[in-house]
Amino acid sequence: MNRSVGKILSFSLIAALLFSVLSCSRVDSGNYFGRTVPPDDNVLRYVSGAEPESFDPHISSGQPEARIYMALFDGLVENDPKTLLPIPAIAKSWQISSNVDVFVFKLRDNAKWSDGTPISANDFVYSFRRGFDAETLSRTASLGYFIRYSEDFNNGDVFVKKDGRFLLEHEVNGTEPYTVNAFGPETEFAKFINGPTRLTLPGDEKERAKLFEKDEKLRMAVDGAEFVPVSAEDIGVEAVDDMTLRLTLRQSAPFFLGLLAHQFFRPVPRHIVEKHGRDWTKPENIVTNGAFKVKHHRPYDELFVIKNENYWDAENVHLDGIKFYPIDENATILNLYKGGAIDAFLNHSVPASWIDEVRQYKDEYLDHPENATAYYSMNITKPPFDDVRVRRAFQMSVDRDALSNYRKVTKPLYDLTPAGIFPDYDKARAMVSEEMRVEKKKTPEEWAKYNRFDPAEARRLLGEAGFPVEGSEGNFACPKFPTDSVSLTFNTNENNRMVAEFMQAQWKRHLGITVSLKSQEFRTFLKDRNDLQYTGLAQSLWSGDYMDPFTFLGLHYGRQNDGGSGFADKEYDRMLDEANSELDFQKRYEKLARAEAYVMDKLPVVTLSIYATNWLKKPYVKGMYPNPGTLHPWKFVYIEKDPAKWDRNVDNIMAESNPRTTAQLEELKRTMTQN
Amino acid sequence: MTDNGTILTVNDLRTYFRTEDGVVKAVDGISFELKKGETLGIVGESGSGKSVTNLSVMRLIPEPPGEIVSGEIIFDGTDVRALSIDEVRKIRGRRIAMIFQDPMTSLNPFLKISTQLMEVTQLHLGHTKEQAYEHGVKMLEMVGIPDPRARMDGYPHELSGGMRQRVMIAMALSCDPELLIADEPTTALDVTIQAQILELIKDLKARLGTSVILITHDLGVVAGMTDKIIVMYAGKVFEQAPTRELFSRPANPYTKGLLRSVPDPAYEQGEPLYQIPGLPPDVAHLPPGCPFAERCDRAEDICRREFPPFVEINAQHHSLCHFAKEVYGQG
Amino acid sequence: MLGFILKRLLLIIPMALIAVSVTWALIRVAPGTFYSSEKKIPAAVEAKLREKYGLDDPWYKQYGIMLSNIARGDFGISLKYEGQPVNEIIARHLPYSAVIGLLAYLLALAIGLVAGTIAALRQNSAFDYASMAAAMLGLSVPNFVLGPLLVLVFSFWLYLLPPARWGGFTSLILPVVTLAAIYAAYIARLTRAGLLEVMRSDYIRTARAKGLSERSVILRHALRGGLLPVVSFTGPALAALLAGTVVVEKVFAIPGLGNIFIQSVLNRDEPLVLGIVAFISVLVMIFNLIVDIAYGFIDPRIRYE
Repeated sequence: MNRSVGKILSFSLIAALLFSVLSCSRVDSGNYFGRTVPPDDNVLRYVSGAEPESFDPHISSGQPEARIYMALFDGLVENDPKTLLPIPAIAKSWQISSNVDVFVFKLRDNAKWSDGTPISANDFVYSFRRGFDAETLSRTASLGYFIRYSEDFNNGDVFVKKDGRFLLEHEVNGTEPYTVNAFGPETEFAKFINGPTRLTLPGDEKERAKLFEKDEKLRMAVDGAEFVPVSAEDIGVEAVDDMTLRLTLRQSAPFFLGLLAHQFFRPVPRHIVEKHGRDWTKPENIVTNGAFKVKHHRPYDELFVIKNENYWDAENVHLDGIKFYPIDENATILNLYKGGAIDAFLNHSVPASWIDEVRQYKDEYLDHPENATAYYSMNITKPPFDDVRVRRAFQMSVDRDALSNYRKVTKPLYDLTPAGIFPDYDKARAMVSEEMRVEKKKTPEEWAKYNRFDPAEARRLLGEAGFPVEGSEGNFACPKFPTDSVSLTFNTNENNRMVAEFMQAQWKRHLGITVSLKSQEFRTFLKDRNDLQYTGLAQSLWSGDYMDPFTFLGLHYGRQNDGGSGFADKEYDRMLDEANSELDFQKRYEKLARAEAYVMDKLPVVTLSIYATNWLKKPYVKGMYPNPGTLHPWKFVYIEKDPAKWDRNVDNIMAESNPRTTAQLEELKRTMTQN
Repeated sequence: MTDNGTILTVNDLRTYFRTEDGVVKAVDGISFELKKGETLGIVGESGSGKSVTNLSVMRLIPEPPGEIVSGEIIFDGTDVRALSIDEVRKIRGRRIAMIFQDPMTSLNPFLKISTQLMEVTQLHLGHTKEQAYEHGVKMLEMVGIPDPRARMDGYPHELSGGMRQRVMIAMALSCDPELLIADEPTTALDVTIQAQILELIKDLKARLGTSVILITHDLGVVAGMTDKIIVMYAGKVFEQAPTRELFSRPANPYTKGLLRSVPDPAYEQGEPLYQIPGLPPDVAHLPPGCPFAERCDRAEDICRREFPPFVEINAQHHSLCHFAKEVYGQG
Repeated sequence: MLGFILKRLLLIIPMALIAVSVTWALIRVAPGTFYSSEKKIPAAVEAKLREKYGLDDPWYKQYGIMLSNIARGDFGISLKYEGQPVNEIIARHLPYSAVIGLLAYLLALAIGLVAGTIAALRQNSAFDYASMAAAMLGLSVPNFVLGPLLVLVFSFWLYLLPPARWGGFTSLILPVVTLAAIYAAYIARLTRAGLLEVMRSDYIRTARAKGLSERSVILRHALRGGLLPVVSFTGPALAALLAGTVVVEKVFAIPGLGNIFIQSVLNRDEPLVLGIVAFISVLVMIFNLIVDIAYGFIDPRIRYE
């Protein structure tokens, strides 16, 4: 008896203790989410995502690495923290040819590596050549293919030398010769690079033989010629003098300047790379030129970078350092944020179940439209999706508004290019759309439903394609449809599954077709998708590489593209090429809009959603914005110690102006107009 | 305090077990006396309660589910039931020792022989390690184990069955106890070894003057060893008599049956061996009347209805039967 | 005994090589490569990559090279993390897993042995039911539920402990406890069962009959046999713990071997995967050997030739 009494007593004591502790220890943090205390030192703690695979800016294409590269390396231009438009970095000013195919940059003379070595145009020439060298194994080299002969060099192609001269492309395929108008100082190299395009052939003999088989004329033309490999010195990059860099493109590319902020175009230190080879990025060897340099790296735990005193703009860098934490478990990231152990984290990381709660903290939860879309590629090389009517039926039987409400972090997508982030392009699109409506003699009501949610029309189309839908609302069936040769493939991921199940339900409900779902591990999935092995539909996500519609429209450009549908259309390519040669800004947008309307008519995809950003940052972190790429030029970021100045009830952080950041930007842009 | 030289008196002992099936009256009113230097044999089939009787004497019954419900256990003038558990422990191994049926499982396989021998004398006699060790060697010699020193550092599994039992005996007698309870000491051994062990016990008893209780189901074993015998059935004493008289003039049909069951080499070959028909009863659900009635060839109506009386044949001979005197008369 | 140990040690290498071979085959069969990503890699770059790593050689040649390297202890360089030798990577992340694993197991032993022993000795008491119920809970609640639950209570309600990451003693507490829970449960149940069985044996009855105190009976006579199941269990359990547990490391952002292992598989980082597999196989076999030897010391009936 004594024992039981003792037990009951001790139990109740513990329970009472627990209750009192629990109830009175819930610390009230006011209007902010969790513990909100700025770090004592001036070091930002940021979760960047998976452990970075390399510190070499030429190598990796991933998002976690991108943000680290932006801290360590400075390029010709940098992204504006809000608009992502190019602002001066190592290049203090630039001039662009009227054909938008030659760019001349004036570099500042005080740019240095973290070991004090000065930076010149030759560093950029070396870096570009290195980046395009196939030996470097860069994953992102294709971004720079606009530079003349860079793609040929990267692919190991060859020039054709016959009778002492190089054969030209137009001589063999009978097109107009393409030359570049001279722009900037005249040099020997300029004469070569501006000249008509040289003929290039694959470097591999077998590949050439295949070409010759198909094209007798070609074979005869090169008969007896010598094949000279395209070398690094042939690409369109030139150091006119130590402080002047000239880039020559193979076509007009108006968006190219913005593209130069990408990590691939940031230079690497020649003296270090040549000395250490592939070991140059080890913490004991690495030398960088950005606002920060590597202090220590504990893999899977922490990358600590500190202010680089040799940075040309060091006096305007506000943070003393940044700690990058490589964590990819979303719940853990949120816990760390709530506990006040981190100050901000990467995009797309708030777990779905938390979104409704953190949404209330509008000064910390950031959801703004992104330069990224989600869609389903359809394999148009395999029936029944080789029929555009079937494809359109699948597109039009999905309620995208409902999908966005369900996903919470997205907005509906009706085209390839997201709406809302390129205001002028949206205007051009509206105009083109209205033209098309008049041309097709449709009423505004009918036209509003084009490629949008119209299940009745979808069923009609399906019937027309030979797969009639029977039954009535709530009870449709499509018995003729070959359901076993159609599936929806996606890579294993909670969000992907959510969407897939939603879509499956939509098609079942509106078309009476049950599409089977196929979840695959990431790399397995990539292979199936990229090799067009999948049947039916496949999940696709695309983050724009730069702020221009072409980054989305270009997905389906060319023979082998990243669109994942097997769509290759010469007319589409032609329309895009024409658009890119258009010098007038708005006219170019119109041409792009027409190309987009064309491809949307052919409809190789089912459009799904535009992503919204989905991350948190503490109210004392300033100068860091939810821009469409979630790219943060770290020198603008600072930690505000005075609580009175923290973000409080700000409606739209992108619209409000921060005097400190604005002043910093103005200072930087001043050099643009100088010569 | 001795009392007529009686070392152990058990009076109307009842030990019950609470099980899911009900209350099992394993020992239901047992009484006997053991004089100093005497050897008492307790005979019965499995389930008769013979082991439980002896475990009760040492208070080794697990409580729960068992309980010594009533009765007296007087050991050398001391009321064992009234002692505290610490005081009982002082008696166990020191003044009353027990050896068990299966020496392989009764010895700890993980500990050395020396450890198991030494701990008894270290505990009860206050021996130092060296003293206990030497004493152990002596005990092993006494029980006839060759090369005792080598054996000390070995483990039980290295020994044969007979050897192990000798070790158990050595362990039990280490402190020169007044009473040795041997619970089926030879059942697990083969016949030749059986004889050796029994001889050993007899011999040690003669030398040390130990009183012995020998429990077995085998009448052949008790024949040459005991002074008197009690026969148990269904938790009760069915008959109690000096050994010779029990064998020559049993007064209970059950005892008679047991005697007939002992194989007699004089019988013709080819004759079937006798066994008492039926099985021992379920002690949780005993019928009214005599528990042996079902199997008894002498049973009559009264046996099934009424519980038999405990009939005194003579001062030392008692039997629990309605027809005790008749059976006795038959010889 | 020495011969036995030697034989077992010699067996380790071929066994590890078998484990490595099977893993190698699985990686090769799995679609996807370490360099695949959403953007297509330029064909020439891909060709160079494949050439550099000999990916176009016949499979038996690649297998042979891999095997001969590993047999010499050369696990090569990680495919994903340039320039980092596999041995270095394992050596760098092992301590995190080992510390947490070891502490967790020690805690599990402390709780499990005590709880199991008391439960066995006070069978069917309130403590017995309570502790076995707790053990049932410990076994059924997965650690990806327990971990976050503990974080909720101790980091957010009580503000006592950090919610994740490695740093300082306090950051170890939650991951260690989360990990220990399931093992404590197992050990408690094993101890209870083992001890109960032993307590029923005849030799315990003999020990009591000799007049030994209950304490001596338990400590000297019962524990040895009663703990044998726990000894058996410890070998593989400890090996698994030291090799890192993925869930706990992910939930608490610990840079341990389990985390690395999963990442390396998802990355198709073949040298690293094989290196870790080899390491774990050797670890498991060594621990099993140690357990078997310990078993032999505890139970004298077992003798190794």
